[in-house]
Amino acid sequence: MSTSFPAILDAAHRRCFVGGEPMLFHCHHYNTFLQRSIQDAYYIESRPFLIGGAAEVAHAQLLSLFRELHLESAAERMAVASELYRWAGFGTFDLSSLGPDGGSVATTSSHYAMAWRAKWHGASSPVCLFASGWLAGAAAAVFGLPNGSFNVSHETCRASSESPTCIFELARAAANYPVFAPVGAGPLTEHRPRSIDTAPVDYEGIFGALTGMEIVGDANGVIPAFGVFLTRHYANYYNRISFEFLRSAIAQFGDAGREVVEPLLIEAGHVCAFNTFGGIMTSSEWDALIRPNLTTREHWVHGMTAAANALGWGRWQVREVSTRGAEFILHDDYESIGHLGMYGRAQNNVSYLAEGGAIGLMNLVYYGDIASKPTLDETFYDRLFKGEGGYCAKVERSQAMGDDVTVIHVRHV
Amino acid sequence: MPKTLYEVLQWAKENGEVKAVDRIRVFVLPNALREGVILAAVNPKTACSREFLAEVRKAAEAVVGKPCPN
Repeated sequence: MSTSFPAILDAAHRRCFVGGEPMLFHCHHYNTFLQRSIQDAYYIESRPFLIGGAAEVAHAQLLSLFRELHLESAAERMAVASELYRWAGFGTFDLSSLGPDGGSVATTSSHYAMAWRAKWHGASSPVCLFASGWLAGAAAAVFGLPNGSFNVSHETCRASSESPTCIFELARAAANYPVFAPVGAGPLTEHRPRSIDTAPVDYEGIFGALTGMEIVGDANGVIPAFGVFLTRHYANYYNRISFEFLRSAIAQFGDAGREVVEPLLIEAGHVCAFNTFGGIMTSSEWDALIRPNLTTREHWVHGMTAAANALGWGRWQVREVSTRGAEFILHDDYESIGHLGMYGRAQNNVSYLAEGGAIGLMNLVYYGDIASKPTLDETFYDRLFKGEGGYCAKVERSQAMGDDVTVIHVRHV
Repeated sequence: MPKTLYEVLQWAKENGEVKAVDRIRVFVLPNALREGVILAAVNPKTACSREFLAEVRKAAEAVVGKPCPN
């Protein structure tokens, strides 16, 4: 399905850009787990930055796209914005009811509401905060206004009510969310991939094959793939909400705040790896494209690491792989680059998704025996990870802290 | 029937999701600091106020999704 906007593959940095915003794949498990973890901390006012982070990326991206495509009329702009939203797997939005003073938008398809229902059978309050912010930012861009021109409310949500629709109200009034300065691509570097013997795994071939696949939203703005609901989400949204969460916790509670937040951000990555990596490694695409060349478990780790390069998370390599552990080398991991762009150099490593992902990959291959195609459900997850055993990790080098790459050592517990 | 902080957390571990205790730590962080209790290091001898125990029990029930036997 062709689109009316360009999605640019930057193979050198293992990124995909749309309107200057880096976009990457994440599944509904990660999206819901991350947001729930943030909202569990009721004493942190997270709703504003969960909305503001989305307004930031939508506004910056669409302004750029409208310029690039020479779109002048609100109708043309709305059409492209709606198409992009659907393409990315966020659901559907008909923006035609909006005007420069705001308006009401209802949708029967919203990723977060669907995801909450799929994973937790519903929610106690509306969950489509990303959609709220995206809508506010998009509307401002459509009408040529600065980000923060609309106040947004979302009182009716399919996840928390019997309503068949999620409803959003926009009003031309002071923003009820912070207006963040967008950072776009961030300070990407020239990659110097390590020389690693990956035979028989063809990293470049796998990268080319996976990035060539048409993984986009269907008519309802849903991407069912690899046993999960995927989104082509904004790297800068994840970064903004994760780092605002962490910074708020540290501001209120010092190191105790960090110690409580970091394990949950890492666990979000672990959950993501279990479901998305696991889904990929048990898929028919994996069986056809990658599995035929794999004869050892070490090959499986290399194969999935090669595949991770197509997710838009940065360049992933792995070496010294064995049942004892592995060393993951990441160029321009999106969390480090996001932190550098948003907040400058970090005092601690910030590659939480990457850390959880690397642990999850090793757990899947060596501990969960993914080659035997287990059913990837909560029962299996609990059985594997409630007891002792499995893998842990230490981030030895961090690009966010000034190193040239991020290095994660994973070892057997 | 869980009566102490340690027992409530054990109940949450056994009945809840993999990182149930990490979630509870987030819920009760402000009062854990006031109590001087490090939830990651609770042992059978860890003492706390009745109010804090009640808060942890409530958080555990929210995380597990069912009442903690009392």
